[in-house]
Amino acid sequence: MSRAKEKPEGAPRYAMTIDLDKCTGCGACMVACAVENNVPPAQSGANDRNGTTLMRVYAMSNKQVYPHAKQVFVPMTCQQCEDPPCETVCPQNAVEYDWTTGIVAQIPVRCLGCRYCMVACPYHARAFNWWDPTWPEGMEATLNPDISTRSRGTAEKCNFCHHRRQLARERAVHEDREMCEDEYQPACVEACPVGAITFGNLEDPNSAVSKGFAKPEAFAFVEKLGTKPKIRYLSSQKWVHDMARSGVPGKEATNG
Amino acid sequence: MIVTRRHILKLLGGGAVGTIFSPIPWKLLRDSSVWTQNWSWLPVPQRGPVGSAYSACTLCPSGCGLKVRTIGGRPVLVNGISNTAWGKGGLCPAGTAIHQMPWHPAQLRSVKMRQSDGRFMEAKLDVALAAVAAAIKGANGTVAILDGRPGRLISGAYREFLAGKGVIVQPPSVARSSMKVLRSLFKEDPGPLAIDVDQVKTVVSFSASVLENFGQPGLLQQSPKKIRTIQFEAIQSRTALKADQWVPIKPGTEREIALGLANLLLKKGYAANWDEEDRTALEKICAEWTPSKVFAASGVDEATLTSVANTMEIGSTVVVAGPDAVGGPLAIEAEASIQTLNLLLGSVGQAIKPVKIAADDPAFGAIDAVETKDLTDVPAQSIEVLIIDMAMAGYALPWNLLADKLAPKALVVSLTPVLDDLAQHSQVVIPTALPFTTVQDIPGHPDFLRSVRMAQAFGAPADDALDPVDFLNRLGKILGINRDVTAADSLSELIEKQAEVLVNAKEGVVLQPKKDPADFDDIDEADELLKRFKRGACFVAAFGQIDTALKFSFDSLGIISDETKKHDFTMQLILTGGVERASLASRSPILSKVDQESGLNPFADGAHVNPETIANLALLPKKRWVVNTPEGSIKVQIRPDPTVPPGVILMSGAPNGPKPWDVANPVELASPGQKSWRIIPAVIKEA
Amino acid sequence: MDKTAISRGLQRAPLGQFLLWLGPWIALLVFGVYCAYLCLRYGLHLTNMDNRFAFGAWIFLDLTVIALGAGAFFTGFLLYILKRKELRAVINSAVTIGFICYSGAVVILMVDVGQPLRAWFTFWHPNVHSMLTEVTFCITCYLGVLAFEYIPILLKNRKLRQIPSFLVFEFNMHKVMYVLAGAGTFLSFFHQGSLGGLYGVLNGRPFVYRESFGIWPTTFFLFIVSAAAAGPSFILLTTWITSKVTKKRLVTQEVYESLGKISGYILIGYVLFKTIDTLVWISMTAPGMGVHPDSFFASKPGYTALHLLEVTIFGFLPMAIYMTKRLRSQIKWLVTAAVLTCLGIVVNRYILTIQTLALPTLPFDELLSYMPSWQETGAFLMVIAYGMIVYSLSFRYANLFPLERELQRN
Repeated sequence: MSRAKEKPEGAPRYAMTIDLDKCTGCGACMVACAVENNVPPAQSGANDRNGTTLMRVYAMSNKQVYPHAKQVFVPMTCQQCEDPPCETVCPQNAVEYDWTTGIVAQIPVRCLGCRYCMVACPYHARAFNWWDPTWPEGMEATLNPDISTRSRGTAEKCNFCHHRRQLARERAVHEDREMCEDEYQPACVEACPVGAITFGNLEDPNSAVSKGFAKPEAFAFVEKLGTKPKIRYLSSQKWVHDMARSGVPGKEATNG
Repeated sequence: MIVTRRHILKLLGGGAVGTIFSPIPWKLLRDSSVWTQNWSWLPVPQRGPVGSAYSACTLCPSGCGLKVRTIGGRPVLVNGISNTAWGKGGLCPAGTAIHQMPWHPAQLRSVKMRQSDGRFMEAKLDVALAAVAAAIKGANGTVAILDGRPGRLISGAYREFLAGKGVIVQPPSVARSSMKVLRSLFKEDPGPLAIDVDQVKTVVSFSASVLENFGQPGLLQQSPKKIRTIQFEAIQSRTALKADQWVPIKPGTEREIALGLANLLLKKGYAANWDEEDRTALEKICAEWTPSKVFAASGVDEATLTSVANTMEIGSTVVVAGPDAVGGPLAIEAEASIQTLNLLLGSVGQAIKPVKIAADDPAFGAIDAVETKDLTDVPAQSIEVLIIDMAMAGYALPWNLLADKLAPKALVVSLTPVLDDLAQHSQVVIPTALPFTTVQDIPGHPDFLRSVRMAQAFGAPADDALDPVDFLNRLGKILGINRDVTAADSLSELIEKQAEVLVNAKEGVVLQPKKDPADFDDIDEADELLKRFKRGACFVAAFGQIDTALKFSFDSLGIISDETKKHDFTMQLILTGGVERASLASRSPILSKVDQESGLNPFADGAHVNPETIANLALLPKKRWVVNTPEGSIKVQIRPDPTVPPGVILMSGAPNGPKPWDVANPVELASPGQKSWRIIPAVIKEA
Repeated sequence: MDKTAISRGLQRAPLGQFLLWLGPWIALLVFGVYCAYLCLRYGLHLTNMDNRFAFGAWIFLDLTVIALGAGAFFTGFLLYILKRKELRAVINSAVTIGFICYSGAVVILMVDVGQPLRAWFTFWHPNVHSMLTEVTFCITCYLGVLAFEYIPILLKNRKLRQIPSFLVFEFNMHKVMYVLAGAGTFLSFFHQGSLGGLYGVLNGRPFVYRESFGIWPTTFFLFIVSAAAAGPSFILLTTWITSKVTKKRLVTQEVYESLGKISGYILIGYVLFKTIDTLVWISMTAPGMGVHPDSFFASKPGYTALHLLEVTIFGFLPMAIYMTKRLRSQIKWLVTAAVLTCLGIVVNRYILTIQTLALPTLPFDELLSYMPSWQETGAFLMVIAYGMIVYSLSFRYANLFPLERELQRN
């Protein structure tokens, strides 16, 4: 499927860079994402394998011993692949690559809950609603009206806070002007206290994101799978690049 | 025609086939898809007019500025903003969810009193207050208020309430803050100090989480200049991971390293401008800490020590230590040695002339009338009545440190919005308002440059939530105690009073988000100041210059803590847990994303021990093991972890997330007699 | 008591004894239905599936029973298209088993998906690129075909055939049996294949991704071949078990040997194909995706043994047994080989479903484990119980084995 042929003229392609040198693993991005996207707090019995974390920070270590052990924190979210493995496998077209933004759209109201997309995704970007969403009594008053709540039995993932783009564009239309790209920033980007995440339009060669992609310290995880992810991670440490290349921790991972 | 069964069956069959050609089944089918989107039990976000407001986070002393997005007046999102002299707009995960706190499921909904059988029962406020008043009246021993966040207006009210008869107790992290220790090194207290972060090029940190939270999350990272960080720390904390240079040290050897560095800096002539006496005194103390002695004590080799010393430049390097949210402060001699380096580096910078304190400033009410004590200095079993206000402290205090100070049959009263750890041990628990439901004054850190901001209320507190000012008023009525400077019916009235004082004093400046600072020529009425506060303004005391020459006193460097070496406890238990792993009172349930639904609390699964140590001690993973400390012991799972230094047991001291151990928190293993529980002597034995 | 419902000339156990046999299965069915109800009512968090094990015991069960139920289409193909007349002795049993397997699989699938009310979305918004769409369409159609093949078997019941319209219907069905068999074969080819294709197209999972012929990965064809191999073996096994349980001779030795031989021939193809495919995967496909197969189970070396076992003990060995005339003539060897072949299916589906998901895909992942919860296991057992009940009733009241009457007389 050729994206280039079907992309409308002048349409943006949104992407992200995440600086692993800066990320302290605090988790503010995870909380901001949950708050923005009406993700409920953990139900009893939820853990790191069945919780709904559209943005999730992992710890990656170089598997050495003290004092040579090193670790980076890796915020992992939907990589908004150009060739998303999850799009081709959904039996009812509930996943669609949006040519006008480059965002891989997930349609929760069409999702059957077969979880095939979750099997297909190598980045663990997708979460399934194993529970119906419940908030402590009254806390529904803090829900964001720009995004719906999802029932149990559907899969979901990050969509780069697409509703924020819609709001920004509406505002721009109302004010009779073009939307500038800075007006649209996902919640995690705003929340990061150390500024590790940048977000912007890859079609704009002057955007921070485009410049980030071009840096030598930028890399993608398991690039050889050919999914063409649109998130680049930045790290000045060679071992991080080496590990990211291989999808499986093994002999390759022990090089300093 | 005789209608038979066959006719009816034919009719039904034909009808069924015919229905397929009508819209009915298809509409029903399509409707079912709509039902599946709109089940009645799914919460529907309420709509409303979009607005925004300013506020500040009340969960910890950082008091990060907030921009709040509201829908129909209800807060739905908060973002950190830069609205102080030092903030850069960072916000921690707990602050990111502060707007959900008004609906915290652990919210206290009524006054509770402990019955004779040990259980909590609901009680009437009057009954509880009467009991407290009676205890205060009849107390032979000390009446104390544990103020976890001094500097607030209520702190002044506490002092006025206790004036002449009680003690304000401060948690050790506050009583022995870095700044307090730094100030104690001056012969004459220079008053509040400050660090100009924009001038800093190098930060040398001793086990402080500077790259996670330095005043506010991400402060160093968001500085316009690239700041180089050097971290001396035994374990590889997150700051150590992110630092430009991590120097592994033997646990508990910060003092030796600091004195070794001071020795080298003195040799470089950094104290050339000092008073001769002071310089000689310091040289005498540091002389024995040659690089080889430092290496023997701490494991930091000569080359590393020298290279770090060479990186430390006068005027642009600052040295940081300070209390840890979980492990508390360092021993005073360690902190003092470290702060001495700041004196050598001249990083104290422009000392700030203390703002003339108006006699009627409520925040400073009765400032000299009441004794303030470090909790660890309080004599054992001397407190008869203790009122605990730790709700805005931002960290948890281990109960056993308090327990030791209480007289038998002491009455403990907790003022708290949720039934937290300390409240569980109290006799009387009085609910106070949750964050975002009440206005709150946000003072800066009491030892730093004075500042005042305001947190707003979005919504109303629970019916039973008591305003602490009202609490003191009612108690005062029974006991016949009247307050003067802090007299008010409520905290918001007290805030108005303070605004009046500030406006009349005409000193200082008012910083405003996205605007130029204003001064008191523009703001001549209390109402105007309050309006600015509501729009995110921050009052800051003026900068000035001390005219007296600096003279120092290095007595505290000579103190050796009361820790006798526990020879039986050959390992060191170090507690970790991140920066804002504070008490339950500051974490909305959505923090489960961090605490429970990701692997970011990796030390919560047991005792992490280096595999070499495990092998040496034959700690087989299948058996049950116990960590013994002088204070007590807990059963643990041993987890081999090659990132942990040999001889160290690393455990999570954070009271959040899953807990695989018996006690509420391994921080409770800290001995009451210990002045510092950064390193707890320990040993692992078979269960 | 129900003698009039039992086919003339066939001996069946007394009703009381039969009900005693059915009793535990009914109890298990009730328990299983309760478990399924719990999952539907309260949510799938009652299972031990999670975001990493998005497929679990139920999908594994689905794949296994559909492969084992392939005997239905393959026997039909062999009998009606290739005219292997001896298989007439087992075709009814094969169709019954096929019907049970597919209907059971569909039932469990409705519990497995998060929103069963949206099951029709696949038909309304089909994604032509997705293997699962193909599977859904083909299995639904094939279940219909199986129903059409199974109903006549029931209608031939001694009591039911007394209703003339049923008899007429059954007769007409038999006339178009060739069409049904052909349709069944065609549909089965595709859905058996697409079930394999489900995994082979996953370019995010180097462990299962395979090279393709056209749009179909090799797993597509491997699944078809393995199903074709397992089908006759499973028929052999179930026939033998039924005859042992009911203490009757149901088919001749020739039928067993024929089934074994067919299975054996297909196994030759499977073992060859699978070996080549694995070698290509090890040397070319996985390294091309940045992973050396060595490293998959670096932390748990024992797991690689399972792959080897699948092709050797559960593939090559039964093939050898089946193809040896001397062994083929002994029922005990035939049954052993059948068991091994069926276990091979189980192992293969397990590897593809469970092991794939256990394996890391990112450098900070760990090898994970999964054990179904009791509710999952209960629902799983519901299908087994359902199968036993339907098969028992069919055996009792319909004529599943045409040769039985003849063999009984002798």
